[in-house]
Amino acid sequence: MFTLSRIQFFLLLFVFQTGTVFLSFQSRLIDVSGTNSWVLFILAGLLHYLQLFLFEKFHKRFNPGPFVSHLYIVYWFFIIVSFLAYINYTIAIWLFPNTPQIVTMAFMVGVSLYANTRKPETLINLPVIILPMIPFFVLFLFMALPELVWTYLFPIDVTDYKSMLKGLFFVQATFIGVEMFLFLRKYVKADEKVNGKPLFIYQSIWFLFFFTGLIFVLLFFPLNGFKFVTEPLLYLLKFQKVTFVERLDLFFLFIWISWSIITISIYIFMCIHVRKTHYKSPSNRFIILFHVLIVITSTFLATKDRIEIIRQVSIYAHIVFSVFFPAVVILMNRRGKQ
Amino acid sequence: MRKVVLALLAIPSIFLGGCWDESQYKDVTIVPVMGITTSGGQVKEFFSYPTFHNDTISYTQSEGSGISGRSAREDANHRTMEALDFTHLEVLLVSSEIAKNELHEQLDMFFRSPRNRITSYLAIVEGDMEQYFKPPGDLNTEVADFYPELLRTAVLYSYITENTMGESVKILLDDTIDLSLPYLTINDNGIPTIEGIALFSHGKYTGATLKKQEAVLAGVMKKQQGKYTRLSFHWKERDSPITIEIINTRRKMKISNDRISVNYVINFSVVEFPNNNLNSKNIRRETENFLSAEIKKDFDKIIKKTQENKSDIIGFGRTVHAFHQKMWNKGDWSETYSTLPIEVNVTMKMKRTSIYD
Repeated sequence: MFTLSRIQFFLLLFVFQTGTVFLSFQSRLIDVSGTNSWVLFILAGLLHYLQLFLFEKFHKRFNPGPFVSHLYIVYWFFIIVSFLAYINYTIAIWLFPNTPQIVTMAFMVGVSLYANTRKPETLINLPVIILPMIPFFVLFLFMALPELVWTYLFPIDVTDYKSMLKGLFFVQATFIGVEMFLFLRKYVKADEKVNGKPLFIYQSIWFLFFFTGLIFVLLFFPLNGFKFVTEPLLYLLKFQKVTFVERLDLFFLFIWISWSIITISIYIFMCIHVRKTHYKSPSNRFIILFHVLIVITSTFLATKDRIEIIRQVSIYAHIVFSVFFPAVVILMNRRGKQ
Repeated sequence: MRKVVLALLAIPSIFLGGCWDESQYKDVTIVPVMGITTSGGQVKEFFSYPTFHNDTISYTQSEGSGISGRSAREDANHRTMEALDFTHLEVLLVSSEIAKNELHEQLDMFFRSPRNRITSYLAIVEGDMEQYFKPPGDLNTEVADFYPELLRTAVLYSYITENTMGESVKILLDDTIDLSLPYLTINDNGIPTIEGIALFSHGKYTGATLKKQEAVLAGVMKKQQGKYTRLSFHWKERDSPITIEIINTRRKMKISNDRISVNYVINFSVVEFPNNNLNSKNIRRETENFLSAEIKKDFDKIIKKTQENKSDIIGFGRTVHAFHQKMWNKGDWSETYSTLPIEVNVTMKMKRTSIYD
């Protein structure tokens, strides 16, 4: 067992939520909601805060049994392999087109294998590595400032409810990982307050992080451009002409790879740890096999067609596992107590 | 022991990641200048690049043709010692024929590969593309060096706005603004020269251009100036030339009742005025009035020309699309723009007279 400080808890949650979709969510959202997407994201921010608030209020009642816990492990396995497939596809087209995907995959999962066969503290402190990278990323983004066109934010038509609803569905991608709040909350030291100001600060950081990314790409590309650009943030950096480096996008890509490796590692950690809460500690052989299975499955999924399908499915799966199951588990626990 | 063997096998394989993608300079030839044209229904490309042999640098040219830009490049590779590499492309010259039909299609190959540079300059050339790679006049330098420097200077001095390949494609995909690109011709001395800017409408070159000073003024209208923006006028009443340098420009647009009214306030300094007497306040005001009238006249001319060619290079469409949907939804913006009454007002404000009054 382990304990978490409040900062460790929020940092873990931040990596769970940002590591998976930060690079790609903008394109699909803007594609369906156009200029409405930034207004929609403000609405999504409120929903996200409400969800965190409810999670904090009822987290003590969230005690899933072995069956539900294993469903979550399957879901996280799906998130890991789909995310890993997407990263590898992106690395293959942006960075290493000739390197066999299994090698890059093995490299990324190898870090997780090492960390997951060590003490939990190793994993818990891993997200600290990304902290110094965030200012660099923000600095790179701000280089595009002179090229932003503010009129791209308009017109807004919130009466177009069809596109708003579709957008609200796609924006759920940014919520992926929020269910970790329920699983990790009980490990936060009892004397550390989470509710109120700390929760609001976390929500604000989450919101600003995603919103800044969305606003920058929205201001940078004309709407028609999003049909061609699937990773707008990377393309935005590729457009920058700087004297100190030929390809600014590669800088960001390496930052993002480190971010992704950490995200995968902590997702795998959660799979192993949640299993451990119901059964005895898995052997290293089991952990190795689990990692091998992840590499094989994600290598199989790393094609354009398959990624398209799993990205679509992952949002439905997320809604089930971050809204439906928590609600059912919490309600059943309440009835049980009564 | 088993663990050690495993580690010995695993660790080097991790470091191999990337070896597959290694690309060495000795295997490729960096191409800084490239030209695309069409010939006999095929795409024809010209390349100018430096080669290194026995520690000396020499410049070579080659060409290739094929059904597309990429296939023409592959064709050229059959005749070059090393494969042509475009990761450091500085200038892409496009023939006016291509610009009139399929500019976006020809740029596809540059955007599909992440290694390609999309911040290269893009320019339209008139006439035979081969002449631009083997100019009849003496350039005093190599083609591979000439065009990048020519365009860099043009951007610096606001002769053209900075339209890189990436910026151009963004505008081609934008319904609210039209593209303008540097327009090159071969002058009487056989030297490639920037004649002004080429006007586009619906992503295609209209065949119309803005001349040198008009191109600078169009940049001022767009508020996209280089480091130096200088304009010269002949002041008939005072029988004197006057050259000014624009410090900055403010633009305020008012759109109402199916008409656009734009007010420009331009701060400038005087860099040449042999008539002198700028120490007199009256002369300064008179100069401002003269320049306001002259520049308004030129701005009106530019608007008329762009309207005639349905080419909204200034980007009025951006504000209309964002805040005046009724006007935007009237139909095709280029058509609406071409008939829209646009009123321009210019107020010139002399901020500096330089070190000599």
